[in-house]
Amino acid sequence: MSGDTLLAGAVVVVAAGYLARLAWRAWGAGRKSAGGCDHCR
Amino acid sequence: MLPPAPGETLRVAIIGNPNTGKTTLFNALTGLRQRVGNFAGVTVERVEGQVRLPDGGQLVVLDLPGSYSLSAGSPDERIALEVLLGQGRDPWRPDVVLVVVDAVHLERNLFLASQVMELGLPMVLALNQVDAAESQGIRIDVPELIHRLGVPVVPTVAKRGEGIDPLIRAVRTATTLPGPVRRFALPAAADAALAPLVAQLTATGLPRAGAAMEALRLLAAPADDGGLAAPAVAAARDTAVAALTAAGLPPARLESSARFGWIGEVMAAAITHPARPAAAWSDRIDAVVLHRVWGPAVFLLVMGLVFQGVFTWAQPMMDGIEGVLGQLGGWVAAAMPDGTLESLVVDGVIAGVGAVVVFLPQIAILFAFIGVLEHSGYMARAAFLMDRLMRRVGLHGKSFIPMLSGYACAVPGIMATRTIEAPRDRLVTILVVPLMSCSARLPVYALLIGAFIPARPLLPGLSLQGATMLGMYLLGTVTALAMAALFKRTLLRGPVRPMILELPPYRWPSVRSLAVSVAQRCQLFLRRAGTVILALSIVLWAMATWPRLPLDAARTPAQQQEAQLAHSALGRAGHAIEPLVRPLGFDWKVGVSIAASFAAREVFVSTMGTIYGVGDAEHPEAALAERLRAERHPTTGAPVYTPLMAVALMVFYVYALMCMSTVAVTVREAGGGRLGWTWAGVQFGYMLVLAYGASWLVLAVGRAMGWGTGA
Repeated sequence: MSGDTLLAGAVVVVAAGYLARLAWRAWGAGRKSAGGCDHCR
Repeated sequence: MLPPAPGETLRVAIIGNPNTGKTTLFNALTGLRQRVGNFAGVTVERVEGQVRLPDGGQLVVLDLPGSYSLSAGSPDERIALEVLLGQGRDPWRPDVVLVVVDAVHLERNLFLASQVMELGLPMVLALNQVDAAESQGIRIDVPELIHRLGVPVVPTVAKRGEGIDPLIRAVRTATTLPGPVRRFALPAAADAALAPLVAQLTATGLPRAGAAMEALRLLAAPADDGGLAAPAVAAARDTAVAALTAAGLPPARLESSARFGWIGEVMAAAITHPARPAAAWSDRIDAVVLHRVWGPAVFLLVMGLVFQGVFTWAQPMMDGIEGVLGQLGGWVAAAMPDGTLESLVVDGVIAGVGAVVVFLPQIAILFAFIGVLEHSGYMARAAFLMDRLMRRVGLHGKSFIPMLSGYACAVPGIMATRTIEAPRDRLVTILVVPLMSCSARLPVYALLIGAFIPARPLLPGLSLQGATMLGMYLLGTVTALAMAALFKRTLLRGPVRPMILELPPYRWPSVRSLAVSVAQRCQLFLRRAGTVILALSIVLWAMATWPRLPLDAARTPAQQQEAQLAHSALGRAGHAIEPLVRPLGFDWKVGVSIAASFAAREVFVSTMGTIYGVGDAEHPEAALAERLRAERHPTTGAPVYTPLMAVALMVFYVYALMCMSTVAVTVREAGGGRLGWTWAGVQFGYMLVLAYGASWLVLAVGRAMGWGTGA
């Protein structure tokens, strides 16, 4: 696998991790406190 | 009491009626930029800020939700009462209460002030908007007012920052003065009748001062009031009501007649009104904009112009952004070596995020218009018009503000339902707020309208594009009212309650606060584009890129790209979803974009941007709208997207609850836990059924009539 592809893959993993964290927080917000919307924060 | 030592911290709670300029005063004090509007109910949650003092001390200032009275009955008024009594979840008890009153409507505002005075906390009265009072010829004798109330009174004009320094000084020294007390006396028979109820409330944990005030309020409270939840309190209330009735005192009017009787004396002594009421021009405007027939016509015309303006004025700026993004894509494609990373940047990031960012001018223009309508006082008139309609469908008048907030974002809209006392009315409002078209739908509408609806003029200053956009907003609003009527007659039956609606004076909008609110909206939009939408674009790009399809020499480059897209994870997921969206006339690309947009509605646009970026790597500079218009069926050569399909898709977005944050906040506000999830499920389900059914109907009727099926 080329370095180019590896770098792109790493960027994708970081982005996916970030989204997973957001989803986890939104789920948590549903269960207890603090809304999770950027529009109104 | 000793004055506070230099360097000491004082906790100050700001409280006042809605629309007294309370949040503007908070902003002037703290230098923060809380959202302000010329209508009631903008502040629903507590907001805190700090003021540094020259002596090294500081004021910690808490902005409480606007309320007409202090009571344990409505959720937001309860927040205020709990904070003032130091009974909140965090025991934040203020050292000083700053009561903000509107100098023009002093009589009504003093009702809340008189309740706060009974709590005995050090208090300062900010007499705000004295400039407006002066311009109407209202003269206020401030020393007499101080004498009558027994608390410091400071005239202010918060929007211009006038009176802020004297106000800070008054707050700083308020703790050295004797605490305020109730300034009116009840008849002896009333005191005797209320004593057991006060004792009962004290036994439930209310301090005595708060209990005396709450006892008076409960006399007129409806049976389902939150303050009567405890059976012992309800029984004591009933006994007090019986005793008062026997003594010939009407219980329901006892508090208002006692307070307003005293307020009338204060007003007579300290306020001089002009012989003839001023602001006749305001009444003349109201005669038109609140008229039964002309009012709604003016409203529709104003909103039509707003949406037309969104298209007409945004276009040059959008063209500019598209040009820059196209050049950027072309430049990056030329500068980077061909390969995966180049595709990620050009087809994933620039095509995906760029497709959404292009709509920044439309967001800015829409919110500038809405800001002008809010700040000028017109929005409150629109509320008045809506209130008639809402009462007819059985919705609480207070539901208007949450629904209005829903035009920006359903999340604050749902949180604003806390001002509604009756739990069933509150739940109905929560269920329908997401039907109001929020700002996240704007990029979806704008993309589809810009690409497929011709700019044919309909009326002077209004084209088919503006009218279509207005139509989408109206469709959401009308459906919200219809669904509310349905819920009120089925799942959540209950009586219709009236609302006191205040019409603020017309004002010239302040350019500064307008600029601040537009800048905030743009900032939020860009932050979303730079975070959630960027991350999703990258992930969706990866799904559209892998697994790789081996090169086939028999295919042209375009065929190879199309085959690669179909072979990718995204293509497979899309083809799996396709049978679900096929009846609506959508292909797998639309289907997968809809599915991805559950994270946030704008993601529909960025996903389409990424799919078409990956599928059309030959033209990195092409805008998404052009790509959609150029899309043809590989076999028939017919256009894939038609105006009819664009309308069906927009109708789908008017109704579908494609927003994770809204689901989360509904769960919380509808009671949390299993109950919260059930209501969130009801909301998501009914909206999905509406979305699917309505777009199917649009397509079926449109096809039968032969409308908009060509490109």
